Amino acid sequence: MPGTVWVITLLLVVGCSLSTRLEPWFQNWAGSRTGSANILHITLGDSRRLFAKHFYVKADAYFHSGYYPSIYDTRPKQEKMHMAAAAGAGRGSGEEETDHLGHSRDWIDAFSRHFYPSQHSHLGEKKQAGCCDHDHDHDHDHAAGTTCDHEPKQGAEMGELLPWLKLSAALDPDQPETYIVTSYWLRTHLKKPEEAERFLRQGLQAIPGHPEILLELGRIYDENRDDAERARNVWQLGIKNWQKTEAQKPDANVFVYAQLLGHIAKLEEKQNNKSEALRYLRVLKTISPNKDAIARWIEELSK
Amino acid sequence: MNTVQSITPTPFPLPKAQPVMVSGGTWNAVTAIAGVVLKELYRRKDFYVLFILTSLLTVSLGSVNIFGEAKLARYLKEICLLFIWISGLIIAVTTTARQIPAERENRTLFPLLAKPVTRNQLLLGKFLGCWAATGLALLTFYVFFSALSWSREHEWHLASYVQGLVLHWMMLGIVVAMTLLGSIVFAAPSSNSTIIFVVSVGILLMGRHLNKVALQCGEPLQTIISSVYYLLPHLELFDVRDLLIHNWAPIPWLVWLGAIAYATVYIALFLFAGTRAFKRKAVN
Repeated sequence: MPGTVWVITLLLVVGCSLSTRLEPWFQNWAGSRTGSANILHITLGDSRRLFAKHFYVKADAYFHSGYYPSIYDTRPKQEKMHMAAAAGAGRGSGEEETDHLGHSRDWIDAFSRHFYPSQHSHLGEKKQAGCCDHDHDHDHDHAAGTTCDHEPKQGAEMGELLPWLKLSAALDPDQPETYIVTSYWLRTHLKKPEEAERFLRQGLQAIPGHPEILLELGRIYDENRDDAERARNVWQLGIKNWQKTEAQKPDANVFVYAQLLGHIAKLEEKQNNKSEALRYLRVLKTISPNKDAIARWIEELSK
Repeated sequence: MNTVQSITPTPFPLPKAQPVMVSGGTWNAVTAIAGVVLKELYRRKDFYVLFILTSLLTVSLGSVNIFGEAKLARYLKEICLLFIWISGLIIAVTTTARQIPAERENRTLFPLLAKPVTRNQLLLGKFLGCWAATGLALLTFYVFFSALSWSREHEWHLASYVQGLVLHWMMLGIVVAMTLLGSIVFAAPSSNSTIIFVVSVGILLMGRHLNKVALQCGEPLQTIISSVYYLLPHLELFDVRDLLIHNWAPIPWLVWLGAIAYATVYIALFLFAGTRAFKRKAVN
């Protein structure tokens, strides 16, 4: 018995000694999850990004009231997600993906379409009689402020996207699109610019100085708070950060840069700072695909 | 001199032969067995645990503050329905898988069959009992779901909820019939439950898409997958959660009745296969 006690004591002492040696090494190890206080980061590790993507896509599915392609159908690419395109995020055009279901392949397929959402629709839309029977192949500009021939979207229903977007941001805080899309719907349809600003600032804590988030933050100051000074400062910071981080990349996100320049030019024009507006427009003309429209704008300002 | 007087026994008057009320007797036997199964559901803790878990988790998730929006309902409905579907499947499979094996292990199968209860009546009674028990459980879950939905949206979609409940119940009827067949074919309740779970979840996830998968394969795989697609019971037809979550209009009633008829056919098929298998199976 005393021999067993000595062996156990020896093992305890060896274990404690080893822990004093290994613990500092573990704390400094790059793969350690103890750097984060977030329970999701610790339990899921990097796999949380997969879940974040899944929930982001779920929000898009909610935007379409459940009408969404499965993994066996062609899915829209992330930059073309309709919910994101409406928010001005993503690089895609406003063109909607065509109907992924197509014609029914057999009687089971035809019969089963009564039991799940099988018509293209958007959250908050009330369809008028006979509407949405048309093909959705045509160019459908769903950018903010334009709608198709439906009744205006009902703002409150847009909130149904929020839980999934919030969860997606919690799981993967390094995705700027999540913050931008959430902020857009919060400030435009739910009339909650304070919540939108708070969320964007969370995004800036996770991704400091990201130009897209600064663009959206500037829009809150400009469109919701009428605070031109702060909007200008934020957009100028966005332009400066874009030039520092994105300009050198071969696949730089020029769309964001163009939006920043366009917004700040408009702001300067509203504030009667024509020289500043012209300065930004000249830069915008070099990168915009719509050079004629920019040229006309410059001409009007120069008068 | 004693003489033994012969005693001519007086014939005992036998009761007149009555025609046996076969249908009434069958139905009584079936309902009696079904009643026992139902009472088993009250006694076991499965349903209570699952219901409390579902309601607690749903209510906790509903108390989360999401950007100060109090009326968000759809995410809650989706989570609640997911728990209801998982719970329904667990209750259906676990309740049914142990019926016949438990009777065999407790040696109650022999006296049961020694009474005027045929194997077919026993099987039908077990099916009805398990199906009714599952239906009662589902009714409780869906009442909770309706209350939750009303508390957020302040509107009733009663027709849709009734359609969803009945379709879900019919789907579980197919699962119960499959599990009963499995309990006769497979050796142990555990293996039966596992196989039925895997098959049911597989059909729910992939059943709708097998025809697309078949098109992408070469022969003979395409023919095999297409045959499986047409032969298997399409449980995913009865999964109308997306319609309930996103408040789509109710399904046309004729189509809904068609789905019920589809389920009835598969239930009958599995029960018939079960009776054939049970007839050949030795109960000792």
